[in-house]
Amino acid sequence: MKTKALYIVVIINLLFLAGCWDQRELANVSLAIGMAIDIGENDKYQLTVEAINPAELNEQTTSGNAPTVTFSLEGNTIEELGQKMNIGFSKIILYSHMKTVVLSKEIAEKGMLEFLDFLERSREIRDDFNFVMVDGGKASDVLKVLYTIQKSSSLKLTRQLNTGAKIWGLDPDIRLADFVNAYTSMGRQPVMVAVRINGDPKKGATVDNLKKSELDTMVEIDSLAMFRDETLVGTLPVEETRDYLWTQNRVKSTIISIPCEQDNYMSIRMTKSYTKIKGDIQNGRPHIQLRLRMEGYMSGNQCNNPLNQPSTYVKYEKLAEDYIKERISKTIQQVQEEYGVDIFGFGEVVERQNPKKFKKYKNNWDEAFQNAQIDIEMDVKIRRAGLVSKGPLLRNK
Amino acid sequence: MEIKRDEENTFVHELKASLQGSFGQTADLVMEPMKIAETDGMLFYLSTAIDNSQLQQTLMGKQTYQPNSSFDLKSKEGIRGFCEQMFSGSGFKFVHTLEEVSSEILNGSLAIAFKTFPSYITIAMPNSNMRQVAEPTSQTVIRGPKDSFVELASINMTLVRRRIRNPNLRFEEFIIGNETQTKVFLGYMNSIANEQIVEEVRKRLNNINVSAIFESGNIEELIVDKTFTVFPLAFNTERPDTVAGELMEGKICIIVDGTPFALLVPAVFTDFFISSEDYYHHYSISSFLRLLRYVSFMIVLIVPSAYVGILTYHQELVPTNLLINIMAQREGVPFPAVVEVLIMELTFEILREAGIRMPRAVGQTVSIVGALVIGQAAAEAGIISNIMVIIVAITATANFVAPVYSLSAATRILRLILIPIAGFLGLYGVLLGLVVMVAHLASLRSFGVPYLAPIAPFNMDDQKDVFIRFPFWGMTRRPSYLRTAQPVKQKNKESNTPPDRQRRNDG
Repeated sequence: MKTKALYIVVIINLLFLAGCWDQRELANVSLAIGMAIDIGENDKYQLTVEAINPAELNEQTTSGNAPTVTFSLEGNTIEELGQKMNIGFSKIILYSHMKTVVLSKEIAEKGMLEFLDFLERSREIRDDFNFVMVDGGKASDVLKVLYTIQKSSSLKLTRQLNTGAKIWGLDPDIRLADFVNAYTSMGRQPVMVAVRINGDPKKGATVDNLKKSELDTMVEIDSLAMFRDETLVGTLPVEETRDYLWTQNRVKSTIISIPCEQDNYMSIRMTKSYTKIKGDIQNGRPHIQLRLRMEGYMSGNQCNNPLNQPSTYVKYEKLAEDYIKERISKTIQQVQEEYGVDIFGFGEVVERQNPKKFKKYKNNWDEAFQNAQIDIEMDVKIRRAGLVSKGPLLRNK
Repeated sequence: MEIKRDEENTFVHELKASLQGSFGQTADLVMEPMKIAETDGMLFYLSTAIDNSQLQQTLMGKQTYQPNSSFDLKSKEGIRGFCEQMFSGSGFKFVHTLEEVSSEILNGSLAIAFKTFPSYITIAMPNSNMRQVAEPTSQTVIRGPKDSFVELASINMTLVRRRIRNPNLRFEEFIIGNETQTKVFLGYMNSIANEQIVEEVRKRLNNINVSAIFESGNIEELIVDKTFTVFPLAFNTERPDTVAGELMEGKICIIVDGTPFALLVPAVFTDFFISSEDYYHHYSISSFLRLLRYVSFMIVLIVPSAYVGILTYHQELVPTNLLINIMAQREGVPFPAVVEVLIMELTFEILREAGIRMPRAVGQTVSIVGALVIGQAAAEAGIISNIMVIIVAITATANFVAPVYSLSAATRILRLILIPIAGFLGLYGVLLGLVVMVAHLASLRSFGVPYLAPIAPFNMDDQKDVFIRFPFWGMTRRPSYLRTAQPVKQKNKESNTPPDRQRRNDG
């Protein structure tokens, strides 16, 4: 009986002594939804945090004030700044729901990505937020541009990047984990999406921006930023981002317009695409074989080719194969010649398939990549013609 | 006390004195002189214990019995013969001691003493005026028998006997309660139930030494293996079909006179998720409903404490948009989540208790007050958040899913224990609490049967009737943990196949 009583006393005391140490009552917490990192004027970094005002994001409680509040501080480490945010903010800032981290172009050009260590180490921050570079302007401005639907800039940006990657292949939807994996890999160089602010950042930062149907300021997907280790080497335009994604087997669906006559185009909605890569090194030169299989249906036809005839499909499939092949090889060639960084991860493929041969090139793979021979094999299948076989253009004749 | 025979009249006077001595001046004790064919005697009975119409029927015509008929009532043999002819079939007995007479009278017998006869005659005619057999009130079903036990043990046994017309169905009588002398019946299938378990129940019933028993709940607390637990170790039911079904599985029932709730032992944890209806509906819906009951059990147990734990410690677990919504709602709430939950859960418990206790006439008022004022108004006033109302509502509703009240009572208690633990330790605490709960469950025994059987210890064949119910043709064995005398219920293992398919299979 005495021991039992003792146990109970111990257990109750344990609750009081050991409990609550990491308690954060929801009412005392502000969610940081985005982070922007610029170069500081006096210190190494300037950190801007976008915290949300939850009442504004709820239909019932909204009163028309700004949905987010941002605050910037300068300092030498992101981790310390993150905890010092209460110089401006009132509540404990919670970073676990952070959706985007925006870097300024200067940071990327100077390769000041030392904060990667903190981002990966922190137990609070996840590794699945979008990593974004802003091309031109301050990174902090991106966080301030409000958007009508998601309200918060970071929420909008993460949704936008997610959708863009799924629907057309506009951006690679790079998360911290992807970036770090590429950064640490011997056979791959990291990329991230670059966005730009279209319009006046000052106007975008007011609730007035939300009251227009044509927003004064918008954050738009700009290009694909390529890195050599932590330093920015250049960007590829959006159209070529898709070519990049094709090589990565990451295009879920897309639509592609291909010239079939002078000034007339036909378009295929690709619903499936698979990419297989084989990599080898022969006579000191990497040989990369890409095999792409795509399936889709006709979504538009401006040319005088009736779609109720098999010959049209054969013709269009051939056109599409040549067109896409041309695009992809041009993009790869451009990266090889102009930037010389293996963003495609061909090195990883070679390492996986011929690990012994790769060992020799491990430390200077990018050089080997620059004179790699790329073979592309295309196989496009057009399965259906949509709702009509002869379109109105043909029926009109 | 042996009866002396020295003097005539002694028997009558002795009994009268004895009864007056033990019953005192109680108003319902009737002592009437009577005369059958010139022979003096006396009737003794308790007007409250006896069936009046039966009394009149029994005695009608007896007084006019003529002395010149075949029995000489002046002699002992004559009275014996007279009784055998006149009262046989109505449960008459010759009783020799005064104590016996007194206990027979208490059980609703008429006692007759003759001047000339050395023993007393008792005729059982207990008052069986009782509530009609009606629909069950606490364990209702959609499909299935609609009768339920009543307060009279004899009727309850009849209801069971009607379902099992088998000489192996045995009822043993126990008189429990030193003062109340309550009749308790132990029922089992002699051919099925494990004799050792029956013997153990017998032993425990015999060991009961209390002054009063009014309900099977009293018995339950006195015979279960462990009382320091919130979990019910005996199954209680007011449904005769449940009792009959479980008897056929090899369980033992205890029927207590004076209550419509019978006990079934041994009870295992999974029994409390089974409704007798499961066996009457199609097995697909029965299986689904069973799983639903387990889910509801976990909802009741975990949802309020998980809410507290997640909102105080693990905000990162909530999807961002939901968290933003919760934050927006909780913006003005002055209390921490744990206080908010405790307030609302207690409020609901108050409403619930009031709902059971309050007079029917004000019931509606209270439910309106409860639903509107406490739910909506409290949220509007900013004392609690809207999502809290949902949490309480889902917990409360899920609690009513439990087919047996005693388990839902246990979950209510455990839930209230888990909430503060979640407030102190977060989900880690909830998990710790559940670990302790499962360890405790595993330590329990019901009449020697592990409480978590057939899950721990695991038995594959028993799983046919635990989380899901197999079709009847598939359930061929009785629960192995009951160690029945006949483990096999039925032999046929196949469902019926249409004739054309059979032909194909044969060919």
